[in-house]
Amino acid sequence: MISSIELSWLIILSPYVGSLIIFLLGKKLYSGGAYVAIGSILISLLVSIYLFLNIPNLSEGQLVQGYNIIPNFTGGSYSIQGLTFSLYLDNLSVLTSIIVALVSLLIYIFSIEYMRGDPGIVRYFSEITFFSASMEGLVLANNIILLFLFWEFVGLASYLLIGFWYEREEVAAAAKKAFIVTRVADFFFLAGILILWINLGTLPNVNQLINGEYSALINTLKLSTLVPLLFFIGAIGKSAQFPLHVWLPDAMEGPTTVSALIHSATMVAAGAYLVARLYPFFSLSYINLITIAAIGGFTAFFAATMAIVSNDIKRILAYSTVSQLGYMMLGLGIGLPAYAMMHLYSHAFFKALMFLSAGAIIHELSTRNIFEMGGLSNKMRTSYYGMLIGGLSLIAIPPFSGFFTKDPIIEASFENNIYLFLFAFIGSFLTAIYWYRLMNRVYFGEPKSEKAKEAGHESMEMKIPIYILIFLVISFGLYMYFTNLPSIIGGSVLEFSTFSIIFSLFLVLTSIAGIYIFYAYVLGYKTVVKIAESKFGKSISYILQKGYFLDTFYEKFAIVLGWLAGQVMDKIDVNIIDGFVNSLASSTKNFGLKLRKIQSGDIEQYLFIAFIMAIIIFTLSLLI
Amino acid sequence: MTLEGELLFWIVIIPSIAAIIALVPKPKLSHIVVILTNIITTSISIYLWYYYLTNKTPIVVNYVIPSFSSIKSTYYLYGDALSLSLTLLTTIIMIFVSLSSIVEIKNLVNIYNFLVLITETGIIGTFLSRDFIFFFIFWEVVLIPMFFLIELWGGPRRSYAAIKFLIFTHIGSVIMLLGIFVGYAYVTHSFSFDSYLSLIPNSLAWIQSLIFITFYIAFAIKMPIPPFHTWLPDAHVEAPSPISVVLAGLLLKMGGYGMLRIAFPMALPIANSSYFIISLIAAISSVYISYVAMVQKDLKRMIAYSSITQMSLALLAISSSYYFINSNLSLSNLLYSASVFIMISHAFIVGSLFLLAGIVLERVGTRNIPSLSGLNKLMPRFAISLTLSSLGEMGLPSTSGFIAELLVLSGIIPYLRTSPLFLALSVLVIGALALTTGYFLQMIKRVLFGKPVNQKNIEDASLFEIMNPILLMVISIILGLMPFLILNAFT
Repeated sequence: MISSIELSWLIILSPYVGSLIIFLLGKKLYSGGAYVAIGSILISLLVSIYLFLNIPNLSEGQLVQGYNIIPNFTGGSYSIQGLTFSLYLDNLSVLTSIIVALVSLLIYIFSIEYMRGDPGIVRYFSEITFFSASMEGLVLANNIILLFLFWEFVGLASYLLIGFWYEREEVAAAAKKAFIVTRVADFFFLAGILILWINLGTLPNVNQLINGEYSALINTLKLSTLVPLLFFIGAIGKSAQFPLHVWLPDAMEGPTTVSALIHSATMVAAGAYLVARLYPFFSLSYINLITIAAIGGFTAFFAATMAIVSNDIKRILAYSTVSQLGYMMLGLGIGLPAYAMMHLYSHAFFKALMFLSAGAIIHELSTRNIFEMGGLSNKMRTSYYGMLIGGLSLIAIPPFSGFFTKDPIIEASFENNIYLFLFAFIGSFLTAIYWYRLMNRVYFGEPKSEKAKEAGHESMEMKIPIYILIFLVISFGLYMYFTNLPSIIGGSVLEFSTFSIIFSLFLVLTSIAGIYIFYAYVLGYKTVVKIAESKFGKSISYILQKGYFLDTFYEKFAIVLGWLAGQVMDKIDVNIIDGFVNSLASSTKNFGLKLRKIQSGDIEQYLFIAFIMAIIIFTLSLLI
Repeated sequence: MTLEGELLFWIVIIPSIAAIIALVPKPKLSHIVVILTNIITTSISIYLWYYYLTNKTPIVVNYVIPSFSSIKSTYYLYGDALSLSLTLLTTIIMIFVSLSSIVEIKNLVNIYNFLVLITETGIIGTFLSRDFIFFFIFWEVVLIPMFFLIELWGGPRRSYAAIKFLIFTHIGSVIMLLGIFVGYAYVTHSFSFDSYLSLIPNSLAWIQSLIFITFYIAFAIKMPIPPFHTWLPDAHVEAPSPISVVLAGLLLKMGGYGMLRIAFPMALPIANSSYFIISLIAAISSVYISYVAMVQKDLKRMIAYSSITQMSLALLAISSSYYFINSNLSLSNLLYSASVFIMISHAFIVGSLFLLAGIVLERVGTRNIPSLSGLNKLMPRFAISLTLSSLGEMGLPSTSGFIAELLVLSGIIPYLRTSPLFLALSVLVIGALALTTGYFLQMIKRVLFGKPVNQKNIEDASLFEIMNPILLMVISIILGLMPFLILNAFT
């Protein structure tokens, strides 16, 4: 009899099986296997909810045993414990697995229409279910090696799905870039795992790190900053934090549904999830938390600046995602893991909503340039509502969920460190500007292209997920507030003191001010326009559009360190090492050719006879 | 003699008997003989492996041959974890070699099969012998058939490649012979490995040094470790793809086996005092070769270079394993298993890659990476398989490549704070792995992504052709998820 906690393997296996079925039989299935995908993720969702409601003592954590992959090595005075696959269920992991399954489900439904008629639809559903399964695995894994396995799997799924329309050059380049950047970061993660494993003689599992079983030992071995920071580099790569954020905007070359699921709601949040998951481990040293907060806070501001000038609707949302992930990291760094996770959930909902709303437009207009849109607010109502409500949540207007999750982080940063607060605060102000710019260009005003004039079709498969997400965005924050959800994953009760009410009001006003500034620019207010049109304004805008030239820098760096160095090494190999050898070899070859002329007989036959003779002699010598 | 001993004896002999049968002038019959032989030898080796896993006692066969006894040499076979795991690897890889040869080899099939089976005897004999006379005979038995396999069935520059291969490996053999005889004449007066292992480490320093250097060079040529590697890319490019699989999958492992079994343990004090230089050579090689691989235009040449990187990592694991033998025996055992695991893992993954390179040449007519494009669309089966194998070579978790990487690095990275050497090694090795990821992704981008260049009808690989690389990767994934199948024997 399988106990109920062992059902948790089903959360992971069900989409994997679905993925395999679609891969093998997809062409025969209706709509490229979409319903298999939906069915399999529905099983995951139901099992997660069942576990969440039915496991007693879930808050204390439940271990689900797997099997031993690497045996123990003993000998001498030390011994090295092997590695075991196992899962760990607690409120945090099960809740996150529910969110992952839920968002996946909604996006699969949206995909039915979005991917309809695409020749690669089978590949699409097979890969995206593979992704969801791996993401569930990442969320539930107990052993860090298992976590790392799924960590790489989601990266692989991301690579395959970014490269989905592989025939275009920039798609191929974006996929490659994303995988290389994240994998290089992952080597640091792997290094951290190895250092922990071999130095401790055992690799602590997630539950052991959470319960602090090895804290004393880790401190004595002076690993409490080195290892968490190496893990954090992995998280920086995955969550596209500064300075490894460069892959995420390019990743927008993939289908929009992929961007919604992988590059905003779930996979990119894995870095923040990792830190939240191993929070007691990261908080072993204060340096770790300062680093996390600093990188997060800076990214929150930094990414928002680039979102302001982008003309590509998906890139704006991508920068926005990077920025929001920065807020999560900031929340983690300043000691609010529960609220950071809440922001992760609410961000998953509202950003998925915004991406799907954008997806509906892109599907209709086949362009991503916001200057070719315009006036869509009354033609594409669902998309408009989605982007509006998602955006209001993004800029933290009550009562939408972003308000309940983002405000506490900014407020705590004010109490923590003034610089962190300034980054977070200016970032929040910029968020309002870029969101309103997007709304203005896409939904308001006159249609800027023929296609925008004709647009207007929204199918049922697209509307349903958007409305469900709208409902979630509106209700999640209130639900969280009234049921005190953060407390079950270790957060404190959210208190609305006089100070925080005033502070929240202040933040809301900031956002409104941001909207107003862009509105003023559109209306042509002289001061705003003057600054924007001045030389200074234009050069700033140019720098921002180029992403602070970081991409160019990395590219040059890669060319010098990679390709040029490769050329040099190749020359050494061919001319010096092999050149020396060749002079020897060629003279020998000439000698061999002369030898061959002397022996006019059939050389092959001759050698085979020699072989048979050798074997006969050998066998005889054994017998004698 | 026990049943296991009998089987150990026969597993060496069976392929050479079958070789003569395979000379039948009917190609189909000849292929069937080879495949049947390999199924038999694989079953035997799986049984032996299972036996070893459950009993953990080495299987020993020691025949006294009258005519050899005067020089203190016996026909001494020894099956422990190292020997049996590599024997198992050999027999399994040979199944795939024989299957892929059916499609690839069109002329002189019976002679080809004869040579392949003789090679198999040589390889298995090398892995199992524990007496230098027979070790050397088997070692040499591998070379000549390989020379002919490249020479007769190779590509346009086959003569050059074959001669180069022969010269290099023969020089290695001669150097090795010098080491063997110095040890025999001055110290052991017996050809048994046991006497070398017990007596050489306590002998005079110059004898030890000489023995270590000679063996190191002999095996470094075979592995190959730079700067003795230049025969490998040429041999691979010219060899037909099943022979490339034998070369990369098995012949290189003979070098690794020699390092593990002979070079390091027989001169342990010298090997450990030269850890600094050897580990650095291995680590620098892995980066250097990755750079060279990065700019290769020929797909097969690139794969050949990538296998040199992997073997450099294997050498790193081998030298670290013996380095830690006194201070941390557990880690030493782990690294010992790591070096075997990376060799086994590499054989499957690179075997798969070489077969795929063969398919590209056959279907598209070129292996030149810049002139290939958009094969994802034209050859979807091939594309899936190539992606899978490349991910294995990049060390993606769930493939055996990851476990190999993890175990090999466990002797380096955890010590990066203890000395500048380990820090340098860590940086170099991580650099090599990052570069490997980079150039494999670049290759995939060029070959599979993008628009198809020429619109002429390119047929996808047939199911039979693609089965071999896929099955090789399936084995790799099984080992990646259940590495204990190999590792349990080394604990």
